[in-house]
Amino acid sequence: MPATIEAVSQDSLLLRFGEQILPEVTVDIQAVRTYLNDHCAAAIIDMVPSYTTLLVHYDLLQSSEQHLRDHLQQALEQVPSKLGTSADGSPVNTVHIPVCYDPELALDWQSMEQSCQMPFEQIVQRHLQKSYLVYTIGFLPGFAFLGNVDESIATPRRASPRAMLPAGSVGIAGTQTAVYPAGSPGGWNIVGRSPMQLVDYSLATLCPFNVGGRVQFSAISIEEYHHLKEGGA
Amino acid sequence: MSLQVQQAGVVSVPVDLGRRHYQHLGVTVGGPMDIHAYMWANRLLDNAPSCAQLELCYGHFAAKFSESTMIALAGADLSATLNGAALPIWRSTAVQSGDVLKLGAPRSGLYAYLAVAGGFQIKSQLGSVCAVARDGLGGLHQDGKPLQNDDVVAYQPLERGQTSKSVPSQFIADYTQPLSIDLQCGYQFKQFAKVQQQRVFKDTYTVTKRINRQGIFLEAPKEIKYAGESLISEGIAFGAVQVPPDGHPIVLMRDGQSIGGYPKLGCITALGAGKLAQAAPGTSLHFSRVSIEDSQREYRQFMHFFNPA
Repeated sequence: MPATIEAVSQDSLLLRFGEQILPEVTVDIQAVRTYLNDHCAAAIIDMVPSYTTLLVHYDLLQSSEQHLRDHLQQALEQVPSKLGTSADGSPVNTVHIPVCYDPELALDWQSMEQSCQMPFEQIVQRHLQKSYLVYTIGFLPGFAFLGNVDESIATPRRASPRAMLPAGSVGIAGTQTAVYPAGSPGGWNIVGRSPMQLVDYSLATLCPFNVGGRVQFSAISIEEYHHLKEGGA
Repeated sequence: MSLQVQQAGVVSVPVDLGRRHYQHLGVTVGGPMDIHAYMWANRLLDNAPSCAQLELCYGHFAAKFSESTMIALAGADLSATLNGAALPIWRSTAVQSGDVLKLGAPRSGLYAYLAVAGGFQIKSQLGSVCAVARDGLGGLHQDGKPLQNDDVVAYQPLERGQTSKSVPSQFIADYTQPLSIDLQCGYQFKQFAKVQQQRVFKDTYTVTKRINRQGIFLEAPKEIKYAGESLISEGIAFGAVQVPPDGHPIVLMRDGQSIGGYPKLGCITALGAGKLAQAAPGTSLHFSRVSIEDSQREYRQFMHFFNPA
């Protein structure tokens, strides 16, 4: 598949898969990541997939840049691209997340109504109507950047971020949506809150999300929210 | 056997070589702000490079040793004393039961590294003891918080006595020297206009007061302009020099975020980051251009010295 390889630091190489955010590109990046995990895991310390890139941080003491470049080149040659094909077909893991859209928790329901020019119930419906692709994970452990929301509910970040958002807050920023896995400052428009604990450092998987996987939200009532929250969802 | 913290200091955190294999889930790597001083502190005690230490930022720290052992202090000169007498840094020292280590005000540098023979015994989380507040991860209580008053940090009894060692003078860092930081051009460097590219290596930058383990904000004499298109967020390597819209660079340090969308000039070297970490607000610095090949050679040589294969 087509991608460029560039050295960005003494022990990091960056693969660029074009300049366009596309679900197929995310799938391609995941396929390359899997190949590298299978073929040269020992030399690699970390791989950070993002929308159109894969940053490969390698162990300079165990390996050389050339060795890594050879593996990356090989991966690009061996792994077929999904670009131009329909990326569907390969089974992906879907994470189901319950969200309470009650106005009490949907901190920005009023400003969202104004900017989207529709009742909040309709915004919620559109937020629920599709499953979202995990494009990348970052900002906080387990903070998954999901997309794309329906254009009609895409809303720019708030002019000034809130100093502290409660854990579980579900937000929209541009065409992206996400759940804050922990309490954090944040500038996304908050449409609801999930009772689900998303990050657990005692689990090897850490969080339910995987780049390339999918997320489906489902609506719950405020009673269900409190019940699940107390029951340890 | 333990170190009893009487005064926790400004920001005192357990450190080792950092957290590997979790960055794709947004987890911070961590690690010592000054790798040079950290490596020497373990070396002075014949510890493995990964042995946990305490990184003591800006001094004002006090702690009591419950049992005799050997310790080493390297890095910043934070007016260290042992039982009230000046304690030399960049060397190992025997301590007895009841001895009290105190750090006062910084004289030069910001980060001092306290190592103990065998390493501090701290439970690691996701493979590292590094405390990252933002992630709520690591540290003494596995909550990402720095040390607090009355914390107790365990260490192993010393099996046999050690003689005191010191760092050869040519390897003792002088944090008062003019700062020249090696920059490996990369990422969007070529997308900056030629005149902006040249300015990066000509201008004198100043370390601002906005400095922490995540990033160091620099002040440019004249804003660096980026005329390219807005970027799609991408993985950020350690030491990346971001140029936000205000034109003043931010160097991402050990607790830097894993992805971001600001244009970047490239990355400073790991050893350069160690020097920059020790620079107090107001310090001026220059960037000098280094090839990736040269910085790889330098880093390999450095690490092999401490960790011969």
